[in-house]
Amino acid sequence: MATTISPIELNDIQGLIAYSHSHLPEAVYVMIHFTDKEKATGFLGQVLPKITSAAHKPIDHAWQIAFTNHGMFQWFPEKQLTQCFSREFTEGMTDGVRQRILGDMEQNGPTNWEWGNETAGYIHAVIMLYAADAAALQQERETLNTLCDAYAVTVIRSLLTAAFGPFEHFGFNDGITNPEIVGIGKRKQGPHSNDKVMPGEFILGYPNEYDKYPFSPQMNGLDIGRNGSYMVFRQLEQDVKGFWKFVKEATAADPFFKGDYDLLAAKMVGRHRDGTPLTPHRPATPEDKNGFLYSHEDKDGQHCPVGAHIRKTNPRDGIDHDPAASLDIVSKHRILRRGRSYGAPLSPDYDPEKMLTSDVTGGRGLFFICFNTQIKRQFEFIQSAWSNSNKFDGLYDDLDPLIGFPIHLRKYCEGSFTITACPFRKKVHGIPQFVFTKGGAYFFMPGLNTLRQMAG
Amino acid sequence: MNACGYGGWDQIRQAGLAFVFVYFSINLVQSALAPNTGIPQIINCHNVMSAFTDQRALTLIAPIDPNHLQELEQLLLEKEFKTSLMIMPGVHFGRLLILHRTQQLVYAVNHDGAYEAHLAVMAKNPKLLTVFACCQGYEAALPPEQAIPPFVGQYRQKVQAFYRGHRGLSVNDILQEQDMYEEIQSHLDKVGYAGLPPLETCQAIKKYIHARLPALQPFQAYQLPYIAPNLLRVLLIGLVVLVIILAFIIHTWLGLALVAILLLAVGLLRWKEKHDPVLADNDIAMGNTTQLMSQEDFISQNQMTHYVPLKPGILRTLLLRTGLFLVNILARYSFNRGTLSDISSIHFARWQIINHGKELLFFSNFDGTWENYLSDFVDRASIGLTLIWSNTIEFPRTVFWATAGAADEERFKNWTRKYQVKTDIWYSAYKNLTVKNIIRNHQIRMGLQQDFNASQAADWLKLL
Repeated sequence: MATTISPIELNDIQGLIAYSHSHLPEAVYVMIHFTDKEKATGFLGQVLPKITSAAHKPIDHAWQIAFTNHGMFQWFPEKQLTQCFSREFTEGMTDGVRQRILGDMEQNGPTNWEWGNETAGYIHAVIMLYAADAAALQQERETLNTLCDAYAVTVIRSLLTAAFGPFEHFGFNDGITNPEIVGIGKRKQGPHSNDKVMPGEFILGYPNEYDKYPFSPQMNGLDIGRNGSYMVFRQLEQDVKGFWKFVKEATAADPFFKGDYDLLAAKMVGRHRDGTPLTPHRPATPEDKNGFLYSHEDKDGQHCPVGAHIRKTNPRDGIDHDPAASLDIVSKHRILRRGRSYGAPLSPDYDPEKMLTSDVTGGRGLFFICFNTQIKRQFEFIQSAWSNSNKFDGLYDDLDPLIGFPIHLRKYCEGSFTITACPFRKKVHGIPQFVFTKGGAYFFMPGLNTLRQMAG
Repeated sequence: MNACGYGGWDQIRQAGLAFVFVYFSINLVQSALAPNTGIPQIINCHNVMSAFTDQRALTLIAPIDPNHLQELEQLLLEKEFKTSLMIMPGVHFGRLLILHRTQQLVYAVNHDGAYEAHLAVMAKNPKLLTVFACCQGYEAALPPEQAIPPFVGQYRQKVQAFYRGHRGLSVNDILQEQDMYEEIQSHLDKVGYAGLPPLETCQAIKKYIHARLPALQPFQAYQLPYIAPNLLRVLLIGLVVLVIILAFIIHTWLGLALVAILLLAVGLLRWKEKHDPVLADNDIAMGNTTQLMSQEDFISQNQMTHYVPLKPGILRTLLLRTGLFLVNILARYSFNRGTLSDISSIHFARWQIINHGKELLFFSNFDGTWENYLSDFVDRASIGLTLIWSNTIEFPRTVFWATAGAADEERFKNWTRKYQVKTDIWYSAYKNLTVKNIIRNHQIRMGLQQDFNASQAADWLKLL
């Protein structure tokens, strides 16, 4: 992109958009409902000074706030907007059409959700608290509770995360690939060719990958959207035992795998459990696990199958036959991931054998959180056009084996998974569903100036 | 990509270019005259082989009898009536819709074989005849085989540009080849062929399939005429230059006049481009989009019917017709290998100027989601589609006819939704197959009848 980008206004952007607060391992997401606009405005006035901007790295704790459509419309009624919020945000995650796009049907359907549906109550906003340790988090929660009581704010649900760490519940090193925003800080791992993404893909008010400014909501001449971002929030429950049980059973008597269930698991994900990619890679630093592309060494998927989870959600230069065009296209479908796990791991070392026999109870999964400026072209696209499409890049019937849900069938239909091999492919059939939607909402995380307007 | 720059390196090359230029110019003119009719490259002369079947586009736009409008609307809502209405032999995709503003019925199919053969098929579809009976000009009192030809003949719409993603394959071929693919898959799941080298593995699979599917005949290979897109561009620019030179040769004043007219036209276009209204930022076609989306993503493919008025003025009409002419040539000679400007998800697409040159009607049948399709449009074919749609109202601002425009991604997508209309009935003969699946199945089939060496065998096995 040739555009010169005006400096990113870090002091107006909420911190979570720029950084994941990884040095603050404890977090809770509090879903709230306002009684009326007046009290909500008072509440916001109290919360505002606590909100962490991207200009300073918080030492001990951080507060962020984001609003659903119901919340945002309290201050900015839809009819008074001269330019609307995006259609996806305005309609909300539980809209009928959206359910099919996201695969939120059957067991995943909003009627089965724990929050985010009508039965659990309309959410107006989420306060996201981050802290260095459990005691500090408890203190912030108490401060928030006092404010909620004072302004008649109802807490619909408090979602407590597991301590922030490098592994997700299936036992894979996670969070390795996240784009770098052009104009904001450097990351530890060296940037790769497909890693730098224009700020307008994640923050309103800056040029995007098309060299255009994303449409931003406006009212009374005020750009409400400026320095804000759409935040996708989904609670995805993981059936960890189900996953390992399946790969063990599918490989036990199979001459292709010869009982190597770790191989099948790695093929489904596209990485080994420690995060090492299956595709040959050239690390920029010894820890780097992201320095690889598909077109030269792995075009047909002999290392990382075309339908593998990481290849479906970020195909890099592998789509069709023009690597440069593929990179360019993929750069238009990136998201900033900021999610965290919840629930106790089945085993602290994530050893599959131990997890299978573990008696740790309770649900576990991922609070999937991501930022983007066009939900339909970024988050929803990855979910529907890639993960949930069994026809991705020339395949016949391969869903994303981890998170895929067939969009057009309206019920879960066990898909197959194709592993490129010699002399011919190996197909694994009857893959059950491992990830279940348990709640979710589309939020908007405004810039601090907009928050000030809202607080009066 | 073949970069065909002018190196000026040898005369033979230039002579060759000139020859190709003349040869294809003739072809271009031919196809301009008859864009509806494909030229079959191979004519099936024996019975034992399957061969190239051309796919054709038929668009019918008939005025609805006002007395029957309500009846027709009701009919198209009835589930039982709808489901089987467009199922006809040799039809790949079919659609039926009402253009409410002008009260017209649109019937459009992509069909195999000759026009007359499809007329006979239509006449045997009683539900379709019920629909046509609601239109003006259909003689329901006559036997269908007599009533259909004059009716279709009267309202048949000229198609200005037509793209086919898997040209040469009949519905039958496509379905048969998918059966073959599934047979091979279930066979491979059962057998191991452990330790067998590729060539022997390959022979074992072929032997199994030949025994299992004796009806699968050999398919006669065909080659469509192909011009690299870059070469075509050079040819077209050459054509313009040639016309100007010719004008100068005939008379200096003629040449100068031509150049002046061209410059004036460019100036006028730039002025219009700066002043024509474009879609407003806040025009996000909310209600229409929601209604359209409720019809999408039920099978592996989706469809689009897009209907938009032209901008006023002769210049826009001229540019649109030129744009469609160019796209038709490209679709026919350059993008006939499974991709339209690198978009590999389109089965069929067609453009037609309707209602006395006032409106542009577009149909498409594509794989995957709408958002994926439109993103492909913007990322891979922005220039081609800007050539066409920049001449219709509210299109995002363009620069010199073909640039910018669709590259204004968010506005372009909002614009597309605003002028997209509901397709009342849509039918696909192979709901679960993508263009890539169809082409790959065909490659596998062609491999079944070839003698391989070891490395060819290994390549063929990769297709499975």
